[in-house]
Amino acid sequence: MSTGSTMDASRPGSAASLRGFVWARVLVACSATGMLIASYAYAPFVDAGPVLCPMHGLIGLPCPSCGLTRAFCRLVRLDLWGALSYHALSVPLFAVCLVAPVVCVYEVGRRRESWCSSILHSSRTAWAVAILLTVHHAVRLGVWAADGTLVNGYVKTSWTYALLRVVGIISS
Amino acid sequence: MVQRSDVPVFRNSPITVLILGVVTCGLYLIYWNIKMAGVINAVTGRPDISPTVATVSGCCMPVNVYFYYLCGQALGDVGRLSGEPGLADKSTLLVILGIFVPMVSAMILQGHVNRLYDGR
Repeated sequence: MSTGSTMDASRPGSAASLRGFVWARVLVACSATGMLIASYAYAPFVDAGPVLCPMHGLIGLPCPSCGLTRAFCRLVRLDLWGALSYHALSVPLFAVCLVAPVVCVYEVGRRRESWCSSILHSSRTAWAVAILLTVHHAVRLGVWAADGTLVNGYVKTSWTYALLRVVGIISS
Repeated sequence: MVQRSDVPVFRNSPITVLILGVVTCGLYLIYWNIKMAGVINAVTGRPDISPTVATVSGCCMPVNVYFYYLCGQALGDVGRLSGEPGLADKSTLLVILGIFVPMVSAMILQGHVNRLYDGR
C-alpha cells in the first residue's frame, strides 16, 4: 500500500530512501488499524455522538463522506445492512482498511512495492473512484432532498443552526 | 531539476475553489485534489501523492489531513519555483485548516500554486 515513497527500496540507494519507504508504510498500517480500533471503541456512542463533519456542522450540508463513521461503527459489529444504509461505499473502504496493514507488512518485508501500489498510483483508479463517489453523493443528495433528510437530518442539526437558535434568530 | 514548464497548468481563482467547494457539497474538492496531486507531484519531481489517495482525501477526514500535510511539505518546492522562498513548510496551517474547513486550505494552496504560472 503506497503513500509517500514509490521507489524500489531494494535498489542500492541512501538509507534515507529506505527509511522513508518503511515509515510511509508504518504510518498507513497504524492509521488503518487505528481507524478500525477507534470504530470499535466509538460504536456504542455513535448514535448519540456529536456532529464531527465540519461541512455538516458549519454549512448544514453533507459532504461525500458523511455517514462513514456510523457505517464503520456498524461494520465492526458485523452489521452490513446497517452500514450500507449509512454509506454504500463504506464496505469497500473498510475492506481497504483491513487489507492495508497486511500489504504494508508484506512490502516492508520485501523492501519493494507490490502491485497494490501501481493500482493506487494509477490515474484510472483515481478517476474511477472519483466518479463512483460523485454519483453516490449526487444520488444520495437527491434522495435526501426529496424525503426531507437534508433539512431535518443535516440543516437542523448543524452547529450554525444551533447557534442561530441560541442567538434567537431562528425560533424552531 | 524541475522547471516551471514541467508543471501541468491547473490555474483557478482561489475564490472559485472556495465557492465551488461549498456549493457542490465537497464534490468539487474530489476533482480539485486529483488535479492538485498531479501539480504537486510534478513540482517535487516525485510521485509523493497517489491520485487515488488524493481522490479519497477529497471527502475522507483522516486522509484529508495527510493530503494537506504532503501539500504543505511541497510548498517549499513551489516557493523555489515561483521565486518565493518564504513559502517553505506551511503544512501545519494547511493541516489545521484542512481539518475544519478543507475548502479554505484548498483556496490557500491554489493561490500559491497560481504563482507558478505567472508569466506563462
